[in-house]
Amino acid sequence: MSASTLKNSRMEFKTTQEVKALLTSAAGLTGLDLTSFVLEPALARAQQVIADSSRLQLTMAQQKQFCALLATPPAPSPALRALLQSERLVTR
Amino acid sequence: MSFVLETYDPGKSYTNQKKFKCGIGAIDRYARDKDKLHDRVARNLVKAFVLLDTQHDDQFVGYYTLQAHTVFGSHLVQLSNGFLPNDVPCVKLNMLGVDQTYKGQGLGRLLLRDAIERMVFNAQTLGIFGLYLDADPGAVAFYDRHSFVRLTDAQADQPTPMFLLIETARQAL
Repeated sequence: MSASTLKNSRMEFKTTQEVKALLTSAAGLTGLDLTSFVLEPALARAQQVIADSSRLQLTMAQQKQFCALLATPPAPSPALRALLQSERLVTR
Repeated sequence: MSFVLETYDPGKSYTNQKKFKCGIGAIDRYARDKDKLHDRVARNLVKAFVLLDTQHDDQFVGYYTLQAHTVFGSHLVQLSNGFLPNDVPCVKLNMLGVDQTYKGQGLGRLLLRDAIERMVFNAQTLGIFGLYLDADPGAVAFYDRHSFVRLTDAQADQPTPMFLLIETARQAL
């Protein structure tokens, strides 16, 4: 998701004049607007933090699906059977 | 073409690891940047398995990572009448990618096969419910075909959480 997709939400921050001036001039040097300059690294960091986290938090709808799945485990699909019956990679 | 899979060793340098390009930015950066794949394996947060081209200087062709994980739902105990805990232990397949120059040879499938088999093997020595991953929009159909079930509530554009149950995988082995 990039900062340039449909903007239907708003974030506001309090900061000092010095910080804002520094960010604005740095953004200017890169040719990005202030929002993209600030938001893009934060997004990349957020994705990394989520990828590193060892916990997936389910919404209520997902919890219902998950419970239903565990209550009645599906039989493997033909593709899964074929995959696990196929030849293994050579390991070293 | 001749390939070999080995456990990723952070003490070793792999030909072309820094140029790895499967086309998904996050998976590419994870392989290339020292503070990601390398450091996370060195810190025992993840285990990684790398596919090497033995005919080309053991070039880094693809990889996947596994880590201990929990699927959490604040109401799982209630919703399952006590059958499930709120924290469900599982294995997460965090990254899986094959370099673009090697696409179309079914190598991604073989990496997935290895990951599933290791998950089933792990389940013999500790309690886990299955294999969880976040699928990119372009990969959902691939995992769907292989019995991973979507846990949908995600907005389009976001990765889709998908889960392969240990029972389903065991039956296919």
